[in-house]
Amino acid sequence: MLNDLLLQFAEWLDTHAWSTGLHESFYMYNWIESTHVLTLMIFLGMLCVIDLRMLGLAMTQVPASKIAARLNTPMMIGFVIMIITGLLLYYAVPVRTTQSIWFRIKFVLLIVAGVNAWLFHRRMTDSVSTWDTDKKAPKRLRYAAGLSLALWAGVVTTGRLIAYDWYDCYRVQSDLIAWAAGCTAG
Amino acid sequence: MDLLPVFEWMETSFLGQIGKTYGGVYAIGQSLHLMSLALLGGTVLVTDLRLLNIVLPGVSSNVIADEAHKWFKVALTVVLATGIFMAAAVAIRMYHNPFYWAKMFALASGIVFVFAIKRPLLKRPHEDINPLILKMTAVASMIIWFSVAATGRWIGFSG
Repeated sequence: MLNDLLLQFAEWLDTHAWSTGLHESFYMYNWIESTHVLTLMIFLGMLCVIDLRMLGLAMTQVPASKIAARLNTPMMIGFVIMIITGLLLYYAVPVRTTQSIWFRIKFVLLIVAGVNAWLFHRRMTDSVSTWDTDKKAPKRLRYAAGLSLALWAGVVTTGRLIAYDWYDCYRVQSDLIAWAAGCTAG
Repeated sequence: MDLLPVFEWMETSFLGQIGKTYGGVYAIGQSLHLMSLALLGGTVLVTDLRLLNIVLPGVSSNVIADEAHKWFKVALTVVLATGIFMAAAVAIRMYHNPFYWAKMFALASGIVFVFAIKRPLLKRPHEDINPLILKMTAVASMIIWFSVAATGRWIGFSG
């Protein structure tokens, strides 16, 4: 049911002239994809620095709250550009992307990473005054920082794997893979 | 000197064969390359934006530069290792790809810039350095590493 709805939505997007135009424009599509990847250096780079500080592995002489607060702005700028370019990339190739198992896993990982970041931020704001200058953050926040790095590694990996067609719907797949990839069109 | 025989050898080497035969291993190599590039970008940006007084203005730029450089070296090592692995699998194609050579030139410039210019400069107390030189170093650094990433991405589009 959900797979059918998602596919209908993707097929509707696919009928847009702009979607086709974007897909077929060599320079525009490649520039958008390049920007999507390059903003990784801003977003994920800053996130790595913040998480490594929480784990006590980098910038330990700098208060954790300062690192988190001051790097948050460039990180969020990178994140917003990444989301916009990501949506444009989806818009350019909606049907295949919707039926990509890697895209689906990436989407789930993004949601989990978002929830983890929100919880991390809340816990940090509540407790930072008690450990701000400590070398390491408290255990729960260290776990959250480690989980954040692992989740984003998963997002990057699954994002990269979207380009591979091993589990595309035109291939013969097991029922489980076909269901997970949303191969409803037969 | 023609480097084509070296690239032909790379493609038939053990590393080249692994990348060619196992798509999954190659893809993992690509992901590690991207993640290490992100870490490298983070360490470069945090240092350069601090030198430009855009982030962490209340924190000593010497501390930021020293701490970031440790992780820069880790990231660069992984970028190089995974880059060699990836190039080995498609070495002959890379040899004929102009963006591959642009990336190699940018990467070599970046490494020389960091270890021969930026790091020796930033090891000194930053209060003793002309602020304009610090800012120019930061801008040059961001341009060089942006070029490395951008030319790297365009290798895939022009192959």
